[in-house]
Amino acid sequence: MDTVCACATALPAHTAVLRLSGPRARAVAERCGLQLQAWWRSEQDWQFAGVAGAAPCGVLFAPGPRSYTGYDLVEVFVPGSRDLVELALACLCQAGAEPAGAGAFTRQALATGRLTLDRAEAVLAVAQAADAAQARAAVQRLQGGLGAELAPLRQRLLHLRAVVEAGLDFIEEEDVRAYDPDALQAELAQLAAQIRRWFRAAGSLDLVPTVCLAGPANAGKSALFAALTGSDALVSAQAGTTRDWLSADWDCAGRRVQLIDTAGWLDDAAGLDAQALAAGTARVEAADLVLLCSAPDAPLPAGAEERGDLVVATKSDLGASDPRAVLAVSASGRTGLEPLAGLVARRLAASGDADPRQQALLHEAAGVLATLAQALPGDDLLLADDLARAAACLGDLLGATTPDEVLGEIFGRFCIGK
Amino acid sequence: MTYDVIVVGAGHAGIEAACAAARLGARVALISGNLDTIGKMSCNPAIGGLGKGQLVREIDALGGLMARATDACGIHFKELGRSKGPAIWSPRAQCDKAAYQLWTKHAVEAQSGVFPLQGEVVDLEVNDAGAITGITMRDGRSLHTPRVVLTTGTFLQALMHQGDTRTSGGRMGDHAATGISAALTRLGLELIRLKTGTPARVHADSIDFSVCEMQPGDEHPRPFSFSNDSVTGNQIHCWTCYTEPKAHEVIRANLDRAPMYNGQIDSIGPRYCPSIEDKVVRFAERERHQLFLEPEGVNTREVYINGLSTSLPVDVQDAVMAAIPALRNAHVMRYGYAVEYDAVSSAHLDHSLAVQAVPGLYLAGQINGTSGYEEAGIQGLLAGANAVLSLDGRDPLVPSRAEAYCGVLIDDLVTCVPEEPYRMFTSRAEHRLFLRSDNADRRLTPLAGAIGLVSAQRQQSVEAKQQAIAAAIAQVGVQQRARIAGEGLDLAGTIAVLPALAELPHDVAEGAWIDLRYHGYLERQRAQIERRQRQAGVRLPADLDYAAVPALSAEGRATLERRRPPTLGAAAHFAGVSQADLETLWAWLNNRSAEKTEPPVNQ
Repeated sequence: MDTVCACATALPAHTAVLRLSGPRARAVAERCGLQLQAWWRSEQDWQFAGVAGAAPCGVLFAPGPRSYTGYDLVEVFVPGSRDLVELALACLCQAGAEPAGAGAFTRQALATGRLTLDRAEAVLAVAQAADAAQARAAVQRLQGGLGAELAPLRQRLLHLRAVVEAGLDFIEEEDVRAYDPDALQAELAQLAAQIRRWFRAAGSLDLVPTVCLAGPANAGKSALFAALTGSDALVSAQAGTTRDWLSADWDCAGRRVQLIDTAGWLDDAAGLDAQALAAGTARVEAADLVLLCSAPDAPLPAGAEERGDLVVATKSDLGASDPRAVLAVSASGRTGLEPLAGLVARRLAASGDADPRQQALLHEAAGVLATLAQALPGDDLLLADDLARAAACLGDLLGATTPDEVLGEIFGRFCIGK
Repeated sequence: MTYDVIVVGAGHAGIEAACAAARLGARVALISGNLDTIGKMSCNPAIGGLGKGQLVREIDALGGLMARATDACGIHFKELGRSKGPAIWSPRAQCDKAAYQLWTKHAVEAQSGVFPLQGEVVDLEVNDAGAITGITMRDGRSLHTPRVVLTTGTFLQALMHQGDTRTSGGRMGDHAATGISAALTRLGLELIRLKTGTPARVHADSIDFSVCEMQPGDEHPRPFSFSNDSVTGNQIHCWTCYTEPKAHEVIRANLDRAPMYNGQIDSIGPRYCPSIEDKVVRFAERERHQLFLEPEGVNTREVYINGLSTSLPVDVQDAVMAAIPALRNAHVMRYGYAVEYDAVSSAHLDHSLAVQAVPGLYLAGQINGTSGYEEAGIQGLLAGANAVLSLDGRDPLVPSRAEAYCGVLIDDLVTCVPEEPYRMFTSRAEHRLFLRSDNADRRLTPLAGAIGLVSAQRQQSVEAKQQAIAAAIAQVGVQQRARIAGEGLDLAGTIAVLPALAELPHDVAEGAWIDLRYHGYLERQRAQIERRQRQAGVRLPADLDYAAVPALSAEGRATLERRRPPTLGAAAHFAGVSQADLETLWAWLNNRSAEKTEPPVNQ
């Protein structure tokens, strides 16, 4: 692994951060005359080789393997002028460092096992987030959501595969016991469900995002549902008409979306109503985006806006819109429907849990496992191969078995120094 | 004296190497320290097994000896994995050890172009350019040759252990080979130290078979060789029995006298073939371990105790036997021992089994860090053939991972140096639905025929079989296909659906059935394989600027710049160029040609 350096700050700036990482980072820094104190930022003067004068700098040293990259990592804070940064980088390169290619630091972290691929992708997403919503979603991913759940899942799959493989390659050994098909199928069904949860696309595996309408009873959800999808949901002025939930396709600014209408929130739900509400709640939790409806005659209770993603002011023909709403619509007057579609489409594009590559891999893994859960193939050999395929999908996702091609693609998109 | 090829060692790798080279028309010297031990089975008396049986069929498909030797000398045939699906079916046979040696010695002597020679090779001769020019024998003789195939097995600097007794030698009763290691080191090769072991052989009359379980062989033994219709030898039974906690106590109490545990041996042994002391230590909770009692032949009373490999001192071996019910009165004829030996780091090899740094030098078998007769045999065959092909300036014979277990074996060796003696498992192969024991001839004989390694007649008969299978499959309707694959029908069930199959020769009907049964899976794998092949045919421009290709590994880039292969397929054969490098390069070429709106040229 090369020892690489780069400037991590856009110039000019008040202060520029130079980053140096790799197996020889310590030697390179010391050759440049920098004093390294582990985990401590020290202020010092940097005397550049062959140049009169010195620059004041701060030096932060994170020794490997517990640094971001897994190697010795040195960060030097220098005044952010282009000329000075160029000089400083030249100095580091003369001392044995290589200029860092795109994503080189994150790539080191991946090589040393400090980052898994899904988290590396999240770093990229943060770096490229266009707005706050995208950044928030990326940060959630960076906090390890996907990897934290998928890594043990993959381990489990590898284990199951090993059990089956052992039966194939060590048939004669009495130590190798056959697996219990029922228990295996039950476990595979569970694993498939676990992977499917990552889609959060209620009940469907075809990558169609789910958008849910929720809110107080009689807030006009069903009328909006009917207006958007063209389907004939039972609409009435009587609160609580929608008993559990309805689903239909919605052409949302050119994108196919599954729109779900849920039962409204009743103050005194009991019996069947409570069951209907529970079913609706499950839909809401599984949806990619939740639209909260607030009507002048059935306003969203205070604080309830946290139960969804966007507040939509419905029945705007009836009176003043809810101030928390991002948009006002009227199903009967057919106003605001197109702007709503545009807004939803943009939000779906921004808040996807995983990028298309991840989605496709999750989709394939879940599909293989779900098929096995329904019926095991006649031969253990085929079973082992199917398990291997599912594990390989998750492995690709986590970077465990990813071909360099995918890595190159991912890291080619990084800014230098991130 | 001058030869085209000199093969050093006449074990399972050496004899295949010598005969394959001679079949390609070369004049070959086959040198062994003892010509009475040609093709000797140093360890267990069995050929084949899971993953290994497939290798033996591949040896046969490429014209080698091992399958025919096994058919001639087998005394207990058992096809393993019958219940796991046809892609796993692996032939295995116990052989009469003495008969096997005689058969192979005779076959080697009968092969025109092979000149067996007794003597010890102590040095390799190279010219100023570092290329092989000959070998030196212990008695001072020099033999000249441009190609040497080393198949030294466990004999390089070999040291045998029984307790604290250490004896120089690669097999009980035989000497070690002492000069070659120094020669290899001098040529710049890195040597590693490996370990293997063998159990005791006991007298059959001293075994209490009343407490053993009989293991009959298959009622209708299926021959290993595609050229044999049946097996004629007399068939015997094998037996199984178990160790007891008492025996484990004896072993535990004497671990300080076990070379593996007292620090006397620190080289690496195979995890898949552990010694009994290993099993007792690593699986302390187990109260018993299964042992297989395998007769070593029909004209001997010696029985091989499979599962009791050990390097404990002989008095402890006696005490362990005394604590095992079936063996409590056993008379040990030969005690078990461990052997340590030098091997060459397989990082030095390319896919033709040539040593990159020493032109003209080829390595095969345990010297490459593998284990097993079958793994050795196939390497010997390929190394011997490639030595001659390179003499003639022809392309090497390098089956791919998608074509053969031997392709997997060699690719694994070249791309990642094994940490323990390497043995084949079916799980090592990505495309094992294709790599079956039943279709080894269809997979490999055309390759062998193309270079003259098998006769034209043999090649034609395999082509005819291939066509007959294709014709049989072509007549099957969609619904019938769906039933065979969907319901996982066996051959009898398939014949009930397709009565026409019953009229065909068995191997044709079986081939058609298996291809139908695995159809969907095979199609998916075929798509993957075809992608690889398309990739292999992509031309690499001679003036390609590898420095401009992002994300190539440093080693891959350096190799590509130096060797400038004409195609991606050729690039794949260089050590240091990883699959990831190939994928990167391919993607980059595709992008570039997409920009220029001209597709990459396929060969």
